[in-house]
Amino acid sequence: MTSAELITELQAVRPLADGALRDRVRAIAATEAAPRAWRLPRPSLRRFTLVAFPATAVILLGLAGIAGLLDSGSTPPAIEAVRGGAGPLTQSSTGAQLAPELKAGASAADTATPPPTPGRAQRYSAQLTLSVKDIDALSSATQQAQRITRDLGGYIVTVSYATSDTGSSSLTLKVPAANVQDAIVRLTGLGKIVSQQVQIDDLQGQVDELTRRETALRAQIAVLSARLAATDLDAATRATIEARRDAARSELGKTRVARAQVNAEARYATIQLNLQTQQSSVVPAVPSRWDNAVDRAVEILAVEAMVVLYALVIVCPLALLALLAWFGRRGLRRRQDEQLLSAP
Amino acid sequence: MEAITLTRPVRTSTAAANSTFADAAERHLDDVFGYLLYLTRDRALADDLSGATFEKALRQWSRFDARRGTARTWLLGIARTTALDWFRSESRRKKREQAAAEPEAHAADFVEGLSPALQTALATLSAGEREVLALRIVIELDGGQTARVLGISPTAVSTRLSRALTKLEEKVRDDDFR
Repeated sequence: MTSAELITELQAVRPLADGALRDRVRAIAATEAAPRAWRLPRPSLRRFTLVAFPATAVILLGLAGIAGLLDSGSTPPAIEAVRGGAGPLTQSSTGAQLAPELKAGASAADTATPPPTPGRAQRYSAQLTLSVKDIDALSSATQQAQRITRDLGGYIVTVSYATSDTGSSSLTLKVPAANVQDAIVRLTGLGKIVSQQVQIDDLQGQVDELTRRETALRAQIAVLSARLAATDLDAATRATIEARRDAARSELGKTRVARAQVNAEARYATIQLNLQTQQSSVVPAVPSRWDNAVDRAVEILAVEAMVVLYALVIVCPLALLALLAWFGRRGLRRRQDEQLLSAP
Repeated sequence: MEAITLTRPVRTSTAAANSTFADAAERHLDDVFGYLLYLTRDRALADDLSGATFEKALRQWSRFDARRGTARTWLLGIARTTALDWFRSESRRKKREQAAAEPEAHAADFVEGLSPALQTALATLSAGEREVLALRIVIELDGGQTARVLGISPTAVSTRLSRALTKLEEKVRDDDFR
């Protein structure tokens, strides 16, 4: 008998279930619950994986995007710090919090500083901080400040000038008190006012006191000289009076010097001028809402990626072990099945 | 050995997706029973296992997905699992009773209508060889469906079938010579 004949015979005689089994199976089938009109399809593992991974990625991206948009209103801390560091300069650029006289680009006429009181000796000190555009402007402004000082009859006490990425110069100027207002007006025209401080100390009291003292010493010297002019003085008395007159003359000299110093101090105002280049180049531009959103979204995505990475690092070895165990168990079971089926 | 050609068209369950369990059970009862009969060579046992198969299938019917295979393949897979579970428990029972050395007697004519020579030759085949014959030749599953039921590759199915037929042919020939 050939294989074809065997197949023909096997196919010709198909075993059929008997009536009892058929009835039993029908009875089993009769207990089937009515089918639901609609039920959720059960996706295969492959289909589930194909959908789940992109869906998870989309959800994570969406969450990052939404969070980025929600947080985009706030300026990033780093930028805020840089802007905050610029301090008054930034305020100058916006002009929002400055008094009118200190606004950026204020004209010289706007720089209302208190003038010295005519006829009174006063110590006038002004401190100006100006910002200029760049290094070239800094150099030019420094030179102009010195020229202005000389033009107004003043002189330069100290000058320091330093540049690198940014630049700054510092000048201590002495300007006749009568011209200090003019000097301040002209100096503030050299750049944008960052800060301005004026201090006036009244010295007239000192001058008056020194003048009175000088007058008294002169009178005292005159009296002592008159007594010395008399011929009836003994040697000891004469020596004593001469000593007193010399002391008075010495003190008069010191008093004159002191009065001259106070007057000189009152004659010249001290202006401390600080010039600095603008730092706009290092101040980052204020990012747009969209930039903020993208930055924030990228940050959140990075965090999400890190979380996923950590999860994978933890889960992967366990999943691998589970997979190996599953394959091992399946292989073992198959081997057992083969053994069971190998018997006739 | 001659080339194996299955001339009859393979039946498919295209309506399985919309059919009820009762429809599927009615349509495939004979296939399940036939497969189990060839596997066990015991009509009563095949009866019992068929009933158990359909009970189990009813419980799992909500998980059946027609897109992943036909109802017939699905039912035959459950039948095989049920039979293997029975074999396993039977093997344990035999070990406990230390009666494994004594094979149980099966009826020689477990399939009515087959020639005695073929019945005898079938009895000498292993259960694994008989099941591939049942699935591929008697029930007429195609290679892919058989592979799905047995959990092996279609190539392995072909190999097993070829060996089983060769062995069956030799047994029948030997029997004829005697």
